[in-house]
Amino acid sequence: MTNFIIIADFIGQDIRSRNTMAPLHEAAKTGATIEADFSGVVFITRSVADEICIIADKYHNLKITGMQGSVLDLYNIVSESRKMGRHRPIDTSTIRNFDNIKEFSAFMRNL
Amino acid sequence: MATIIVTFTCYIINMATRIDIPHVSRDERIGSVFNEMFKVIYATDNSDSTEVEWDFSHCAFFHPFFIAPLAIYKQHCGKSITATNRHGHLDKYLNLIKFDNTLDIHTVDNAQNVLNGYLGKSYIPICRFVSSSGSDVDCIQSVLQEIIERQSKMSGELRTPLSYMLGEIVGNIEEHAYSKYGYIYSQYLPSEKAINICIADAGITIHGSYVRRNRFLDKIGDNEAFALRFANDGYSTKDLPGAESRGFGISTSKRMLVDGLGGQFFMLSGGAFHRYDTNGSVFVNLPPDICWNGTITLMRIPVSAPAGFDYHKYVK
Repeated sequence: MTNFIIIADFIGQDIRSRNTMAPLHEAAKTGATIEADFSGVVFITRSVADEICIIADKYHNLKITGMQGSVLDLYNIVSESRKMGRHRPIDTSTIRNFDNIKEFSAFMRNL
Repeated sequence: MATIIVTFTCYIINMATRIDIPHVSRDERIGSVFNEMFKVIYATDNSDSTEVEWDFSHCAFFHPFFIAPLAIYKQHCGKSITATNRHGHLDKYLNLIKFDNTLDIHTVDNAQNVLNGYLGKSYIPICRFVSSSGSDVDCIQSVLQEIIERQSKMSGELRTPLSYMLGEIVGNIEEHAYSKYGYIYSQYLPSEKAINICIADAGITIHGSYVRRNRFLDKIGDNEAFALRFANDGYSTKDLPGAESRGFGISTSKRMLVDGLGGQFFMLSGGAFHRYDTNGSVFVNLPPDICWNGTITLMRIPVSAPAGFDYHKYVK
């Protein structure tokens, strides 16, 4: 028997916080077959997409369906990115240090 | 008896430290308002008195990136601050943006009811929301964002990038700041053709977050600017070894905003700040006497996207 979770109804259509996926995690943890239907979800952040991937990777009893548009695009991007090594664009700019207000204020005026 | 009361009142006033609030109406490069802000913070923090008078007699208008942090600092600095000489329209403006008492928006209904009154304005008031998990923070963001979009008449193609940037920056408060409340303020300035958004918390700071999780301290040490750079390079305090899938929020939002949209980004956390705009990147450790108790992010978001802008390019 499959348990269906309609994400748009249960969590929302616009999902931004990683923590909102906690109920999905709990449901998957029970071992029951879960189908998480993302129909009607219009936005997820990268963090949410990553959390969904984490749960889906951990619990193979979880099936993700119904993603569309930018939600599906982002999920696919994150899913692929997780399989590849992390490439960070490194910022090589120097760090400025100030010991007193006067020097700092002069720096800020010209910044 | 009356004489005694009057004398006592004068005594209290005389004990208060008076600080002139400067007229800060421009923010040429994002965060430059903090040059003036730090002077106010320094003078207030170092006042011998617990009573401080902020004198607004020289002010007529404030840039949103000055007034919002000033209001948040006022709530958290631990001093009793009286804002005086708020003449005419300035007093009205400060009341409208909720300078003295930030607007609590803890539920979606509350947010919708109150914020709909701001649809015809160019700003939302300084809002305070509960940042803990399980709160309505996602839905509240949606409400706030709808108001911001309608006020600025921003291009529809910016809806998803704006959701992304707000979601990731506010999400960091929820996940890392250990701050009971988060703050958000937004103002559309037609002269800049941009939305100015300030998101803040009164939490443990980015450096404090690395310390709390005991992550990367061998590299960061006590250097707060280095911690800021680590966070901006995507080193998450919550990554598991061999599974570095976290820490994209700040770096992707920042690149989307600046490299993609031509906007500007500024982040101040504890004793350090970072600015990233089309002129480059800078990290600064503040002098020891200046500190922001929490993290504050400023984003200047253009209301239209350059031709060829592709949101997906920046979330990879």
